[in-house]
Amino acid sequence: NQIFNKQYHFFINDRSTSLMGCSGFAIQSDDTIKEMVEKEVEHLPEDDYLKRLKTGDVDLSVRRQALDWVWKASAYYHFGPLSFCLAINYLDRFLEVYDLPRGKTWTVQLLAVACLSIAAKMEETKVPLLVDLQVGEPKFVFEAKTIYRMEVLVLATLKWKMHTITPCSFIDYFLSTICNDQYPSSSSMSRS
Amino acid sequence: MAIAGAGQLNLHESPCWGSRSVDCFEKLEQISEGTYGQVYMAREIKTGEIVALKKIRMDNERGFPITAIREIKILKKLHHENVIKLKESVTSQGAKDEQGRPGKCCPIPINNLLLGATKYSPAVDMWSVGCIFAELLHGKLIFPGKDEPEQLNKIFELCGAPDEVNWPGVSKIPWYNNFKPTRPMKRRLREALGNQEKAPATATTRRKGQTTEITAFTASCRLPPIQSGQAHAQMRPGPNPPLHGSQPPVAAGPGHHHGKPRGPAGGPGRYPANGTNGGFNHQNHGGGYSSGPYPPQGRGAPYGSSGMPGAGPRGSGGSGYGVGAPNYSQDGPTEVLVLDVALT
Repeated sequence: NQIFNKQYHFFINDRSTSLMGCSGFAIQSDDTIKEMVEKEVEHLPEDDYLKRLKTGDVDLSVRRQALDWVWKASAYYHFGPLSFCLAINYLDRFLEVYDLPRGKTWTVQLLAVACLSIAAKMEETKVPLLVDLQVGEPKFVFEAKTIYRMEVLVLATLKWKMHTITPCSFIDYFLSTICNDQYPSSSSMSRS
Repeated sequence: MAIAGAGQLNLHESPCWGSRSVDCFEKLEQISEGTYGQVYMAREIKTGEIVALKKIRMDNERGFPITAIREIKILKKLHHENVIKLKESVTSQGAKDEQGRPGKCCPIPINNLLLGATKYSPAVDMWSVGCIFAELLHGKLIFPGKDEPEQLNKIFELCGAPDEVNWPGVSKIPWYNNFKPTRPMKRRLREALGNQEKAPATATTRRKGQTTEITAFTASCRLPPIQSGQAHAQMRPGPNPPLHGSQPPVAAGPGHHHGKPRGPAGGPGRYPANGTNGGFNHQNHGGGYSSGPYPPQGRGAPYGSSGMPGAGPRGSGGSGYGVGAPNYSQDGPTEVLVLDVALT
């Protein structure tokens, strides 16, 4: 019984921190956090991307639409916050390096679907079929084959680095710091 | 609306197409094949290094397989001499590279998604863990079926066939009659695995005592259900699952606008009721990857209205629309390969 309890505890920890690239909260020391901050940079779009968004080089409204849809679909399927963060991370990293054709909003919608799909596959236990994922009456609906190709394009463009540090990765650290080192429950992230 | 010029998303022109092409490798021979795809022994042309090449199959309805995503995710995290090292992911049509180092070979089958199971759940993981324990004890594959029906039969032979006694409600499951064995099969797990004195189990396993492991196996080694009212079966624990007893029957998913029942991955005739083979009924050995016609989606906003040749979302790879257009083959799934392990 001891063994199983221990194991179970480990799994809970592991699940909540599964994308941090480090094991368990208990050892989320300042050093670990420092390492995570450093690593996070590798998984972020360059500063240049923000500039391009501001100047309209990357179409901000198109990005907003994509984000909007990802949010809706995540909520519809009760995806965890991590999936959402991952999807947006993929979306931005892709937009940063890949010039989608201008004026074709469907390409961004396709990208959004592919990013959410990959994120859900990384994190969720229940992942809907690709056609079912496209909830919320989006303007464009894609068939699975098309989404699959986009998934592969995203995976390859992001060099298969899908194991991203997200804001979620830090929440428990800050919560435990705020709460005087009292270790918050593992559900704190979902509540936040 | 401006029409995207041909090759506007041309993958060759993108400096960021992050994967090398599988053409960098020369396939030598096929090592194995599973529900996930095939594994080949291959040689990297440039270096002559021998590697294992795992070809991942596209799932017709789910795109890039979740099992592959999870496998990549986990392998990237695992660093141990006894765990295979993921060296690189390559695509069938690509450029540029990302290289890792090879590791030692010790493949452990992780996935045991049968019956076209597509929903991943803790129960599936528990099943897999049980199978791995059993294989460690047994020293070899415990369900070495060459396809899903045969594998299912092997499971029946070892774990016993499901009936109303050991699995109340099983006979009400629509596909039960197609799957049920034609002869009674008793559970003989303990006989088969209980006295594995010579099994090359790991030292740790032995030291901690086999009983725990076997119990874990026994507990988790329940039959995957033939899903009620659903296309895809999902493995979950049987009548007395140790950890997931409260898990509800497989949800049919949020039944939103698509609203029509989905057939099995390979079409309704995938597991027909006639014919016997290996103790139960099946005909199709396809494993659920047949590519039937895609169901219409009924919301064709952009189709045919964009004026772009093949550029609409439903287009199957016309030149103007880049994803997969110029570089991918025009039909059939794009083959994606994950380079797994050096066979050294």
